[in-house]
Formats: sequence, structure tokens, C-alpha cells
Amino acid sequence: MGRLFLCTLTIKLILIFCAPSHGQSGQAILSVSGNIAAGQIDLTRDDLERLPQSQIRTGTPWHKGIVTFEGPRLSDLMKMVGASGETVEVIALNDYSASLPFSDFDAFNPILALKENGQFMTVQSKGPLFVVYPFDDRPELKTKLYFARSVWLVRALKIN
Amino acid sequence: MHRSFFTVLLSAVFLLIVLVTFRLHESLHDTQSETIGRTMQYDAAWNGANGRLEFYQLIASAQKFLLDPSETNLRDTELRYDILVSRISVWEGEGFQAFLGTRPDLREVFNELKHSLTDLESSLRDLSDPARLETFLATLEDLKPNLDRLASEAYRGNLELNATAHADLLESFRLEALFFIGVLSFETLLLVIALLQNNSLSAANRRIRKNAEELAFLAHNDSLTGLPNRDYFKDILKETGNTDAQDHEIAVFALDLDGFNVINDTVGHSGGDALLTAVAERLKRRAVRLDSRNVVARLGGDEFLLLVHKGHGAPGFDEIAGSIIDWFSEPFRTEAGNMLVHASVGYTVVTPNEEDPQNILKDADLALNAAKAGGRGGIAKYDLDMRQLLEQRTWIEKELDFARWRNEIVPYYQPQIDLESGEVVGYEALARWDHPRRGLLGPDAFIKIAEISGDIAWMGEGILRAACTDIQQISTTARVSVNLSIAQLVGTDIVSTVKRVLEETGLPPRRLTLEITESIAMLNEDLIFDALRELQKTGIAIALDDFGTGYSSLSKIGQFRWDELKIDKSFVPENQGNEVLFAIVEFLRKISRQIDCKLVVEGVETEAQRDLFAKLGCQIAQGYLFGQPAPAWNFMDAQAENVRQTAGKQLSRR
Repeated sequence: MGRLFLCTLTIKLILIFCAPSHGQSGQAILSVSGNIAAGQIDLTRDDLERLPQSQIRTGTPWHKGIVTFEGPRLSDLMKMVGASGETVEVIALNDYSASLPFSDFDAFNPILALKENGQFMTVQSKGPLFVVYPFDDRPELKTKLYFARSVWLVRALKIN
Repeated sequence: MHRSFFTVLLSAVFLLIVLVTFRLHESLHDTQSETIGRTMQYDAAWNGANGRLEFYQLIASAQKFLLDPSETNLRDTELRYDILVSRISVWEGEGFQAFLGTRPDLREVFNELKHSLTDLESSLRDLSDPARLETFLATLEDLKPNLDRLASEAYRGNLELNATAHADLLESFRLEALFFIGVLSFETLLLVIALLQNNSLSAANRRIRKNAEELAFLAHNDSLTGLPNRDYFKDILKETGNTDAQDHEIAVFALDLDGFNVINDTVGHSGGDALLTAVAERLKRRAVRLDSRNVVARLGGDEFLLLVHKGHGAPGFDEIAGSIIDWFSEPFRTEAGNMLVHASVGYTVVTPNEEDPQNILKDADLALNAAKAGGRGGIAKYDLDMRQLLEQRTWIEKELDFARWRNEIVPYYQPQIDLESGEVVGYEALARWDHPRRGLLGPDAFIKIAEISGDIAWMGEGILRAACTDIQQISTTARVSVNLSIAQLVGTDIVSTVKRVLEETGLPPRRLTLEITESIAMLNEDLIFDALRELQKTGIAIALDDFGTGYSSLSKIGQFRWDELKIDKSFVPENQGNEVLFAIVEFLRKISRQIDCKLVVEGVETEAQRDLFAKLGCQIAQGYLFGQPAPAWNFMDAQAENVRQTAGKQLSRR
């Protein structure tokens, strides 16, 4: 508990001192709201890149062949924003949304991918953010349930 | 054998079914998992529908920009376009392509859609130009059918997929249900078989129990009359002794039918059995009427046992014995006709200290023997003498073995006097047992026992051989008389034995007299008379001993040509005698004359008696008056001493 608090505090200080800069990389791409420490927070790609980056190599029903995704773990992101709750509602640009239980984050380590095969994802290529589960490593995830939680075009998270 | 084979077969079938069940279940389970998995797979319909929605949102956004060409609306239109492009890229992914792979016509629709959308990208930069916007919107309008088709087809494909999965699942469930019914039926069948087998086992069990009961009944009861047998009676006796003996008395009665053998010979065995059954019924009925606890058992043959209870104030056992005898006063009605039979009864009162049923039965039997000795319809109560007698008897049986090898059984001789001349004309050989501890035992003490035990054979032959040898040393002319027992006559080849002994000892047959008792003669056995005739032919004289004691009638004397009639000593009067006696003896003398045989009188003790029988016409006399039975050497000495003396002088000296 103490460790989590310390970690959250550290990240907040980082966020305060590294105030979002302008430009392509400085533009907020993710809005986090709901049950978090700051009530509501907008995060830029840089913010997300400052978190430890994780890779998942997997095939998905929405890609051709094996793809390498890269981005922060959702669990780390939750810690960073001081989230506490049961589920995260992931909202996409096309107004699609899915509800992800916190338990998924520890069980499967899904990431909020920024890059696909080393390239930042654009809206045209399901970007800018994409929730990716490790389907190939965990074949039991290859069901509608987890396909539905694999939200692309992510623009906001709401902690419930 | 059949049953065990059946069991093995059943087990095999059962095992097979379990295996098949297991495999079938596994395969069904796999099918279902796979089917359910299929329905959970990537959903092209959803993807298609969302794509269509995004397409319409793009159109809506573009139309909004047409109406209000603001920067925001332009950005929104651009975003909607990007989102749609993103969707196209999704549709290029493996999931949607798999669906398109099954539909080549749709793939063309998709390719056309993709190209048209890519072409639109350049127009997007100049949307501020209304003409461009119009074209943009028109192109989108043209693409509408493509998207509608893709979306609806994807939806239909998904429906079909789900329908197939649904059907597969239903089929799988149907199979499972069938399979479940099969297993259930089989188990029911097994249950029924088990129940049937259990039933047949129960039936077998019942049969076995019934057989066991029957066997127990047979083991405990007499098969003819249904009465308890000896063993069962003993058990009952033991039980009764343990529980009832204190408050009242009990006695065991042994009973047998007088002359049952004769009845059996007359009416046959079935008639005899019918009589025994009738006797058993009457005994039981009457005994139970006396006291409900009384028990009647059959020992076998015509012997019955009664366990009789006597409460306070009841008549004594002797009275009860009397009434038991009375039960036989009426004839028994049987299938073989009415039969009258009498019984003899011996009983023993069970004393609390006598616990062994075996001894109680023995005592009752001894009492019965005593009762029978007293004649028909006899009653006797056991007393200690009877057992002593039995013990004596047992002792003698044992001792006889030693007697044979120690040569303890020897003849004693009693002279026979010619009443006319007064000379010793013969000697009767009488068996004596010179026992080392008991002293001299008379024939009454052991002959009957020897007859039963079979010792009579060697004993008889020994006496005969000794007599034939001794007589030749005692006298050159006197005869010797030897008694034959029934056992010798019936059980051995007496003719060849006698002939052999005579040959071996060198005694002329005419000097030998063989005596048989009146009771033997009355048996009327042809074989006995044949043997006697055979012996008579060789010159041996045959005497009828103990004449006048048995049941015989005088007429029976004529059946055999007797050489001597020996009048029993009971005919010898103590004093002068009487007219009746004289008449009888006179009658006997006449008969003996008629059949040409000598009349011999036994037990003459006084001169008066000698004179009397001499006067009555007896030729020969025997008795203490003329000398007690004595060993052979006694007469050899006497003969040497008085070789020229007359018998008369000898007698007068006594």
C-alpha cells in the first residue's frame, strides 16, 4: 500500500515537473477520468512513453500475421494515475466502449499499445492507442469476450 | 458353473459399456467444447455492423460540414474518415478475411470499397470546395450498397455459423440424452438382473434352509414314526435335567413290544412298520395326556423311550408303568389289520446327581431287560444290582480273553449212575471257570455272555476236546455228555468240529452224548435238527436237556428221535413227592419207552429220591448223591483207588 502510494506520488511529481509540451507529441491523446487521484487527467503520448514500455507479439483477428505491439502496461498506467476501482471503461474515437476488469491487468498483462511494428499508430491504423491482450501466449483469450475488450482508437479511460 | 460363466460375461459387458461410455462422453464433451468455442470466436457480424455505422457517421459528418463548413466539422469529417480507414484495415485482418474467404463475391465488393475510400483521401484536402464535397458525398452514396451488403452478409454468415453451432450442440445434446438413456437402461437392466439373481439366491437360501430343517428333523427324529430318536431324546433329557429336576420328579421308561419279531414274520415288514407307527401314536397321545411335558422317542426296532414327568400328587412311577402296560390292552388298528401286542417296561427315576443321559438310558434299558426276564408284560424298576450285574458282565467279557489263553475254562465231571446196576455209566462234562482271583465260576456266570460275545465257539470246542480226552483216562467204558449251546449249533459248523475232535482224541462216537436244551429244540430250526441227525448217524447220542422247563408241549418230543430225555431237577421232589408228579414221570417213562430213549433224572440228592425215580422207571440218575462235579483227575484217582469197588458201595459210604 505504502509502495503504491509512493509510486503514485513519484509519478505525479514527474507529471508536474514535465508539463505537457506543445506539438505533435505534446498533444493530449488520452483522457483518464473517474475514480483516480486527480479526478481527471489528460495524458500525451510522451506521458505514456515515460512509463515502462512493454511488448506483445501476437496475431489478432484484425491484423495480418504476427504483429509486435509496444506500449505501457495497463496495470502500470492505473498505478500512475492512482486509479482505484473494479473496472475501466475504455472509450474509442468511434464511440465504441468496453469494460475491462482490473483483474485482467494482473492476470494477462494487457498493454495500451502506442506502436505497431515499431511505428506509432495513427487513427487510420487503429491508433492512437490500442488495448492489446497477449492472445498467442494465452490462447484461452481468443474468445469474443477478450476480442470485445481489445479496443482500438482509444481516446479515454474511465475508472469505475 | 453356468452361474459363474454368466457372472464373468456380465462383468465383461459391464466393463465394455463403462469404457464405451467413457470414450463417448469424452468425444461428446470435445465436440461441445469445440462448438461452444466456435460461437465464442471472432464475430464478423459485429465488425461489419460497426463498420457500417462508422460509414454512416462519416456521411452524416460530411453532410453537416456541407451545411456548416466550420473547422470543427471539417476536423470531425476527417476523423470519421480516418476511423473508416481504420475499419478497412481491421477488415483486412485475419478475422474478417476468413469470412470473406468463403465469399469470393463479397471480397470483390470489399476491394472496390477499399479502393474507392483510398481514392477519397485526396478529395479530403479540398473539402472546402463545395463541388469537391458534393463529389465526396456522391462517392460515399455510391459505396452505401457495398457497405450495407458487407454488413448484412457478415451478419447472415454469423447467423449461419451460430445456427450450425446451435444445431451441432443440439445434436450433441441429443446424443448425450440418448447415451444417458442407454446408460440408465443398462443400469436398470443390471438392477433387474441383480434383483432376479438376488431372488433366486433367496429362493436357494430358502431351499437350503428348508433342507437343513429337514435334515435336522431327520437327524433328530425317527423316519418311520416321526418320534425323536435316541440322540434327540438324550438332548431333551439333558435339557430337562438342567431345568426341571428341582420341583418334580422325572423318570425314563424303556419299553419294548413282546414278540414283535413273530408279528414281523407273520404280517411282513410293512405290517410291522404299521404296528410300530400305531404304537408310536398311541404312546405319544397317552403320554402327553399324562403330562404335557412327557416325551416319547423311538430307539429303533420295537424299542421306545418315554420321558415321564411326575408332579406333586401324581401317581407313582410304578403305577404309571402299570398304566403304560394297560395302554396295550386294546388292539392297534393299522392298515395291515388290527393287532394286539403287549409290552414290557423298565424304568429308572432320574436322580439329580445323575447327569449323563447315556447312563440314564442304560439304566432304563437294564430295567427293561429285567422286566423281560420276568416274562410278558413285565415291569421293572432299575436298581443298583442291575448295573453291578452289567459291570460284572462287562468284566467277564474282558476276562474271557485272558481265560482262553490261560486255559482257565475246564470241564468238571459229574457221574451218572445206572439206577438198576448202581454203576457209573457216564459223566456229564460241566464247564467251570477256574479264575485266578474269583475262584471257581459256574456256567451261569459266563456261558450266556460267551454266547453273545462269540467266545462260546472256542470254549465249546475246548470243553468237548477235554471231555473226549479225559473220559478215556477216567474209564474205558463210561460215556461222556457234553452240552451244546445254541451259538455252537447255529454259528459254527458243529458237525465237522465234533467229527474232527473225535478223530483227534480217538474217542469212539458211541461214548459221546451231546445235550441240547429244550429251549433250543423248541426253536424248530431245521438246520439244527439236520446237524443233530448227522451227528446221530455217526453213533453219537443226542440228549434233550432240562426237559419240562420250557414252553414245550409233549407232542414236540416226537419231532426228533432223542436218545435221552433228561428230566429237569425241578421235578425232583424234596420229600416223598405226590400223585401228580408220579403221574407225570410215569407218563414220561411211557413215552420214552415208546420212542426208545433213556430217561435220565438230574439233581438227585437223597437216597429216597434215588429210590423213588428208580421205582418210577428212570434208568439213569445224576446228582450230589452220587458225586459233585469235580475235575477229571479226581475220578482218575478214584478209579485207581476203587477200581474194583462197586458204585453202590461208594454211594453207601457217603
